[in-house]
Amino acid sequence: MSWDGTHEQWGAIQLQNRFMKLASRRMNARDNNAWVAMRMIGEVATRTGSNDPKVIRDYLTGPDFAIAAFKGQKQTLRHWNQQLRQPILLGDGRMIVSVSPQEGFLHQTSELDTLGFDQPETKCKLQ
Amino acid sequence: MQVAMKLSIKSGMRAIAFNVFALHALAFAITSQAIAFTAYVSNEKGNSISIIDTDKLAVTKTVPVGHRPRGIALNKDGSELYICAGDDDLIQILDTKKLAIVGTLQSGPDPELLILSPDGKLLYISNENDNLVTAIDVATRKAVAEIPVGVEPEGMGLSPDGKVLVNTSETTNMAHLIDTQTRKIFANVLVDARPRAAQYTPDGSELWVTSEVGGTVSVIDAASPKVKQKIGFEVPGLSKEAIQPVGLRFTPDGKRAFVALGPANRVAVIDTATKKIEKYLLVGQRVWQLAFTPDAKFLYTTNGVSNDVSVIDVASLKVVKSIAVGSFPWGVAIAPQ
Repeated sequence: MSWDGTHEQWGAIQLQNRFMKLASRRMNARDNNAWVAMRMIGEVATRTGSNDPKVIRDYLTGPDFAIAAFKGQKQTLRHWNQQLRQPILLGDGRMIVSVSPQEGFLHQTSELDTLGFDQPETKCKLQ
Repeated sequence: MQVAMKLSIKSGMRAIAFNVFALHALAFAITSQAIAFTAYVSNEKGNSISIIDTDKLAVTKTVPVGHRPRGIALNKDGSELYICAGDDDLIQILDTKKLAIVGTLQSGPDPELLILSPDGKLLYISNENDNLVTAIDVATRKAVAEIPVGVEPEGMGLSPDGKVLVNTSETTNMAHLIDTQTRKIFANVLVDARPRAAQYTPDGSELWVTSEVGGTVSVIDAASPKVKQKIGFEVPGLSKEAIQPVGLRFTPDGKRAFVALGPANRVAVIDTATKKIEKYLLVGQRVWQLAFTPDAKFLYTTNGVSNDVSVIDVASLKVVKSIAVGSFPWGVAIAPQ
C-alpha cells in the first residue's frame, strides 16, 4: 500500500497526529495521495517562488524536483512516465511489517525503480 | 594531563641525558588518555540514559527516565542533564551526581531538541507537534517565551555570541533565524528537504544546515543571510537516497566539520575552508547525533539502528571503538567530569 493509518516511521506519526486533529481519524491511502499531490505543488511554489502553472510544471517534471513525504527517503518523478517514485508499505491494516524496495534489489537509476514497471519493460509512451 | 605535567616537571629537573626518556614518558602519558569524561546517551525506545566512562570506553550505568527521550543538554557546570521526554510532554532534570531525576520543566507538547544559551540561563526547546520554540528560564524553571515557527521544528543552533537562535522546520524546509532579544523571526532561509541540524562555524561567519531527505548541507552566509553553497555527498556503492545528513559538529578550531549521514552508516569529514570532503568514516547503522569530548580529541556518534555508539579519534580520523548502549540511541552530551 502507498499509505496506511498504522504507518508511523520517519516522522509519519507527526503527519498522522495533524490529520487526526483535523479529521478525527488516521490518514488512509487516498487522503495521503491527495496530501502528497498538494505537497508537490507547494514544494515547487516555495522552490521557484512562482505561482505560474508553466513554471511550476516545468520544475515539477525537471531534474531538480524531489520531496520529503514521510517514507524515509526523497521521492522524485520518473521522467519517462511522470510517476512518483515512492517506497511501498507492507502491512495488514494493524501494523506495517516492512517497506519495499527490499534490501538487495538493485537498480542503476534508483532502487525505487525496482518497484512497478520499468522503462525497458513497457511500450507505453508519455503523450 | 596531571600525570603528564608531573612527569615533565620532574624530568626538567634532571640532567639533559634523561630528557629523551622523559619525552617518551610524556608521550605515553598523553596517548594513554589521562582524563575521563562522562558521556550521556539518550535511548529513544529504551526510555533510558546510558552513562559512558570515556576513559574505560564502557557503559557504567543505565538510568531509566521518561518516555521517548531524544534531545539532551548539560547545564554549564555539568551538574544537571536536561532530557526531552517527548511522549511525557516535559523536560526532565537529571542530577548527574546522584543519577536521579530531581525535577521537571514544563516544555509544552512533544519536546524534541534543546539548546542552552551561551550564558547558561535559558533553554530553547523545539516542540515538534506544536510548531513552537519555547524558551525556559533555567533558574525559575518557567517558560518565558513561545515563538511560532514552521511545521515540525527540529534542529536548534545558536550563534557564538548568543544573539541569533536558529530553528529548522522539517516540513517547511526552512531555517528560521530568531533574534534572541526580541524573540522574533527576522529571516527565513529555504534549504533542501527535511532540514535537521543547524550549526554556526565557531567564528560565527557561516551557518551550516543539514537536509536529511535533500541529502545536502547548505552553507549560509551569516551576514546576508543567504545560501552561498551546497555540499553534496557521494559514497561508492550507496544509492543517493541512502545519504541522509543529520547531526553536524565543528571542531572547536573550526577547521573541520563532521556530518552524520544516517542510513549511509558513515560520518563525513569536511574541510570547513574548502568545503571538500576529506574522508568518510564507517560507523554504526543510522548514525544520528554527534558530540565531542571537552578536549575535542574524540567524537561520539549515536547509531539508532545498531544500538551502539561509535568513538572517533579526531586526530587520526579513525573509528576506535563501538560501545553497546540501549534501544535506539538518539542524543549524546559529554560532561567534563
